[in-house]
Amino acid sequence: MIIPLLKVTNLSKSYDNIVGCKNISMSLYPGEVLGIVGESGSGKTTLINCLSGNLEPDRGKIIFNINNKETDFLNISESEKRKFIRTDLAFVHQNPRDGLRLNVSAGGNIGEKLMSVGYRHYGNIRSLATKWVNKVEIDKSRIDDLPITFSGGMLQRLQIAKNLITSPNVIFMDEPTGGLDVSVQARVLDLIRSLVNELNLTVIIVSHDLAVIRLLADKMIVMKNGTVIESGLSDQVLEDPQQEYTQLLVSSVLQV
Amino acid sequence: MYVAVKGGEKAIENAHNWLSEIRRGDVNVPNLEIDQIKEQLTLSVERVMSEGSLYDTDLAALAIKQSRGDLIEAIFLIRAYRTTLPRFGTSPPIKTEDMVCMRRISATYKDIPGKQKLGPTFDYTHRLLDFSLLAEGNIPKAEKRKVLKEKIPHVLRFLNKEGLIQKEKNNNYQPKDITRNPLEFPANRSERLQSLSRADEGFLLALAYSTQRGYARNHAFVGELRIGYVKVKYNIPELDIEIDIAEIIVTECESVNQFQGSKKTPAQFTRGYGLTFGQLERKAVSMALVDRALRWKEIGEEFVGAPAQDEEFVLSHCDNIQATGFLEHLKLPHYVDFQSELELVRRIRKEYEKNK
Amino acid sequence: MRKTNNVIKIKDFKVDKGLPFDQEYNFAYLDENTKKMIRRAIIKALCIPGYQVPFASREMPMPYGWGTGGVQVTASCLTKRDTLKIIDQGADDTTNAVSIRNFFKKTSNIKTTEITEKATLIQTRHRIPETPLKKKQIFVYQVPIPEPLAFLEPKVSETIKMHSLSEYGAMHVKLYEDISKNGHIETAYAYPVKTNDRYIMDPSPIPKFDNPKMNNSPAIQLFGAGREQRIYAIPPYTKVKSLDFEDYPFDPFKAEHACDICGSKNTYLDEIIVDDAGNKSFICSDTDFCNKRKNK
Repeated sequence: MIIPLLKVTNLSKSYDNIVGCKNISMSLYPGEVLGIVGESGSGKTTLINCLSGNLEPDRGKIIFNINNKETDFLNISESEKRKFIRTDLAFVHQNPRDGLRLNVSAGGNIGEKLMSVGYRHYGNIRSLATKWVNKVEIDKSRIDDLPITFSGGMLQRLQIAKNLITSPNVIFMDEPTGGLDVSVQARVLDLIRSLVNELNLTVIIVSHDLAVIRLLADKMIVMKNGTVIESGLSDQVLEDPQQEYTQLLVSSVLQV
Repeated sequence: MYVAVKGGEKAIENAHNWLSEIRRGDVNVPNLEIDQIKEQLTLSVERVMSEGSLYDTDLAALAIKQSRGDLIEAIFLIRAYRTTLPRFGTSPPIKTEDMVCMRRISATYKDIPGKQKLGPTFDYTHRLLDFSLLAEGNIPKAEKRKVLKEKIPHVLRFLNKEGLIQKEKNNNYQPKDITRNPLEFPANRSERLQSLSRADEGFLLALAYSTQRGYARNHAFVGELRIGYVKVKYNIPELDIEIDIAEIIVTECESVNQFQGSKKTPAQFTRGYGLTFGQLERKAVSMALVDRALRWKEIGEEFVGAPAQDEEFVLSHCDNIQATGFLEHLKLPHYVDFQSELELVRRIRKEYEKNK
Repeated sequence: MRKTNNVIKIKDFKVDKGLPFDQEYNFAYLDENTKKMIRRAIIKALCIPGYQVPFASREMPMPYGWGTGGVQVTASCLTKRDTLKIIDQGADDTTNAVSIRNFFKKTSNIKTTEITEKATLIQTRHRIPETPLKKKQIFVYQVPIPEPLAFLEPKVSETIKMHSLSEYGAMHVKLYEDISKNGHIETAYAYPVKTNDRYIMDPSPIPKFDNPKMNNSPAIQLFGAGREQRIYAIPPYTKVKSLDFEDYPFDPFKAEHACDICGSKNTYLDEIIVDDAGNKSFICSDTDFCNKRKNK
């Protein structure tokens, strides 16, 4: 039997009187890409922020099971939690500026992740950083340049490299192509897809764009007003949506 | 061979003697008396007492004389002296509603119970040099009135009654003395106000001005500005009686600021508070504006990144004795660290030449 | 109009009575309660090596930034049996060292010395003596900015979190950037260290040449930052490691000269310009060490 890498039970979070997400339960298995869709305000960002440790949920359970070690994410000390986030999780922000230090070189940005988990050999850090700069299709001559000299697409690719370099166990992506021009979106998506295949990554990706989900996700959940209204294999949900709301979403997108 | 310069001790002594001489100036001009400073440079004396956090006109006047009129230096002397004073106890809060006002104005109401009272102010004077002061000019006599017996109520009470202004809640918090406890962040309002009350006037003025110009704009009205005498009481624990130990002059300003309302609170007026020793109107008003800007969180306002909203920035940099000390330490010898940098720059340059 | 003359004075106005300065103050200036408060902070600091303990710094009669933290720590540790040495830039006769020594002479009538071995308490600014420190000596550093992370993150509320969670990755990023830009770690003084394998600590602006002297020292090392209201400490025989990379090890360099007075080759040197042509001479910054060596 395969044990889920992440198991969420009855997770709820509200802000004052406004519901963020309500009674969410779900599982994620190793090597899976899970897409979360829904319109803005549906609770998908609240959910991903709770799962990645950016937000403290009001109720529920989040259990990670990594290398047969169970971590009760909401019941560990702040320092254990930070360490877990540093070593086992990664978060790709919609706006790469939120995930990068703009006054630190590209290599320094990628290297920081390594140094934060204990790398202390400059030469190794440098060569790993160079490898990853290459992998995300940035010319290695740019490794000592500051990110402010990069284009939007390059910044996003740099952020992806920074997140993947330590081989995290779960990668969260919040609208990773949402802030990019349509012309560069395809290239970044293509890069994500090839990295997912090559490295067998486990990913939770939030998007309001069904095309992104169709391309990347094995499974998907549809959210509305803070709850999950439909879930299943992506192909299945997209081909044969059961809920009226999902049908509306699918039809409105596919007809364009 | 070179012999390192010795004689720091001699140099210091000579420098200090010269300083004393130059402070005295031309000995044919009469020596400045402490009483003259106390009576005729009152606003300097009061600024020194306020930022020095010690109410004593004689000591403040002495400090001004000793510092050649450099007020920050005078404040420093007072602060250092203050450190050595023993604490007998803590007086209960002064009651500004019992103030015998020499000046009391409100910019929000034309007529108010207790009346507007201009008092001794530079406001509405024309800023023309008065050459008659070069000689012993004729001093016009001010008309005398009897001191009003009844208390003068605070103006903001009337807005309070209507529920139009944010209520100040008594949280029964025993304020910590910031000169006896390290300031930690986030600070609470009591510690914030203590810091602001002894903060540098110029710094507060600039910050308050920045809020007026749009950096965390909180359009302010001077709800009330009052200046006058209040009694300081002290409870003698052994005897369990309360006595008046002093009468001091303070300036109090309450600002009224509009507030659009937020998710948390409906639209209402909010307030900022300023209180200083002496007649320091500019500072009290500045303090009220800065206090108000710092209250963004409790009101549910947005943090727009303005300097006046940033508690840690404001409180860490408002003290002129801390600031001037650190700034002036740049004049101390730094031979060792400079030497270290020199060597580093030389090495980097050498390598650069080699790799060229 | 003004009635302040009616104020009842708590304290007599005695400054003009011609009393000598020292008789008006407690031993070593600070009152005993303040010293107790500071000693408690010091003890706490010794228990958690490298951790910055907040303390209610007092206003001293010298400016913030001129050693008020060190002076308060010294004043709190000083007993009548102590022999005090004060140095600035390694020398006993630099202006600020003279001034601080005079302050303690006036307020405590304490014995002072210029000889490192004879001192029981040494206060310093920017140097550690060349003569190794001994057991039972207390060594007090004056600290301008106690927070080693301040240049990465100016907010204390944030740096406190970084320390408590050991989130020190950003600290190495700075070293990484230095090397990739210049092939060197660019910090020449105030070079950050890790104390007892736990807290990253600012050693005060001593040249990095002095860093190794902190490691495993038999003396008690105390750090006082008056303006920033922090005290921290290194207990005797504690591991103090300068941050570096395995392949770019810490390098405590100095000028490649010998002292022009005593001939010492392994001491930290001051560079002195001796004539208008810009000719240079190098001499020991530790004047006591230099004198002893010259006289041998």
